[in-house]
Amino acid sequence: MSNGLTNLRIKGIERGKRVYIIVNGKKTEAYEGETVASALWAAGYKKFRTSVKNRENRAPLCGMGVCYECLVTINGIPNIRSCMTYVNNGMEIETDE
Amino acid sequence: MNKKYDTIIIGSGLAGINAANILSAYNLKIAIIDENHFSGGQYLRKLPENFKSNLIKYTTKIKKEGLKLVKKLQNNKNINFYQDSTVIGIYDNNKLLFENNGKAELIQGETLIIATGAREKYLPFKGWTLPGVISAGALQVFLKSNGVLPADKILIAGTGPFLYAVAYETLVAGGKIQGIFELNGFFKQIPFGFGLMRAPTKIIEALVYMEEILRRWTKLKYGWKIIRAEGDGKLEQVMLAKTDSKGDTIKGSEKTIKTNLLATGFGFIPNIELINMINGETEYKKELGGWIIKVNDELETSIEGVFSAGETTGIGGAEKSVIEGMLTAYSILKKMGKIDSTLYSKIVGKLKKKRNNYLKYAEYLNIVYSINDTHYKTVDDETIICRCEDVPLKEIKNAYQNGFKSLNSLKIFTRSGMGNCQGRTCGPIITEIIKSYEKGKIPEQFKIRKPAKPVNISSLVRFYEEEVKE
Repeated sequence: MSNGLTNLRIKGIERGKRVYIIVNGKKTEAYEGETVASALWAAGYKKFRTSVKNRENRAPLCGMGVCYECLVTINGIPNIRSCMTYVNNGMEIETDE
Repeated sequence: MNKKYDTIIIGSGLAGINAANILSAYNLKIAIIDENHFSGGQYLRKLPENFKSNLIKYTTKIKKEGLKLVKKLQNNKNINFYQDSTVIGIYDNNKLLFENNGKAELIQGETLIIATGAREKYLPFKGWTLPGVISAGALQVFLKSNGVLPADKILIAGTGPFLYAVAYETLVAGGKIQGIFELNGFFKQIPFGFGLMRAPTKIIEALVYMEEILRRWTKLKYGWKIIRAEGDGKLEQVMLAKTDSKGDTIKGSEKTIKTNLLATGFGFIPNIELINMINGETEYKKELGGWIIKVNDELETSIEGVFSAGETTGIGGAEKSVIEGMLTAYSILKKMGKIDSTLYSKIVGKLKKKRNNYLKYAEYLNIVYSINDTHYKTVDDETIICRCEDVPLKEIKNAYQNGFKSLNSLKIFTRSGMGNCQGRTCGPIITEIIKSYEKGKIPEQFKIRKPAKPVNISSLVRFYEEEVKE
């Protein structure tokens, strides 16, 4: 899950409060104000969902709630647009395995 | 009980907030619905309130004014902001059903303004479904709204001035750009200079971006297109090639670049689904970005009492949206008899003049940075067109050759447009592909039904239980 960078969060930006989200059972760092999509991407996740027919890896495309490629399960509710949802402490997220 | 408003504005972008500003000053009761958590639309995107950054050195005047206006309106007692609210449907041309925080809500308005903005346009290529291929807009969202640089090295390709804006933001954030590959040839872009003369503030903006891009010796290529993206489960490399003036690929010019992130931007298309849902008129105007909502000089649609402002009436940028937002407000005030006719004529005369100027700018923008039919005609058969339902071009082509010529019949036959995004991504692509086969003839659009976007059934159940059942 390496992007060639240890931290994709931009240096020189002071962030909101640090929180922890649970991604596929793993405690993951995030910051209040970030979308789930950004927090997942910054943590190195490149597979958000699996496409319905070809079972391909999919990840955010439009970033603004149009394309539905970034769907994940949040607190048990499936098909949530991660780009339109904001992180909060203890939020449980599942990506397609 | 349904809440009643004088005007319901769908979309809190520059058009929406500028309409609300004027209407509320005349004591009209306004509801603004927006799917986003924040007001201001895509153009006013910024870091969350609890973030601090000193990286951003340049902000356009129109953005500064817009942000100020959002702040001002938030304390206005005549305006009710419904953020995080996704529209489900419009009923009887005056009622709006939307989902907010797990529950549907119904509100009613004397008049309606559709200011739903635009979304990204795509020219698909083999492998564009790989994680790591994102839209230029998504790159901007990562940078501007989340303070995340999505990769250490970024490749930018597509067409239009937006590429430079995104490149600038990437560089300012400390990112490295592997190149900006513009689809249209360098000389083809010269006429855009005439367009810029109609929007002088944009010249300053362009200079700020270009200064940063050139100062970092960023590679700029003109007349290049993406051939394909490749990788095992995620993007690893991109093949590009030079094209001739007709748009055909020049053999032997192919070049492969290793990258984890490709941001593509091919311009924008209006979000016109809501007017289609209520059977209002639309028209296809290449010079305004494709299918747009048809409006008269007062920005009223073919449905009385329903207005539209901003990118929905033609892709023309922030200034046009501001002016159109104001113009719809005055049209509504006139319709409701709330404004003196001399004052109205004086203000509206000026606004219409400004609008015409920005429409001219829009024409330059959309024509200079248009995508030649050849590019759509030569999309590889294996390319996935409908990403939600995994429909490759060959299946759509096959159906088309067997007589399925409209988007709706293709949808029924191939499932393209039947997934979660409801054809928002593939619809405009299929339109352009068929147009390229039919020598410019535009196919019939998708029929839009409710819900406008997927809605959780429990939201509707809660609405029924609490509001309807009694």
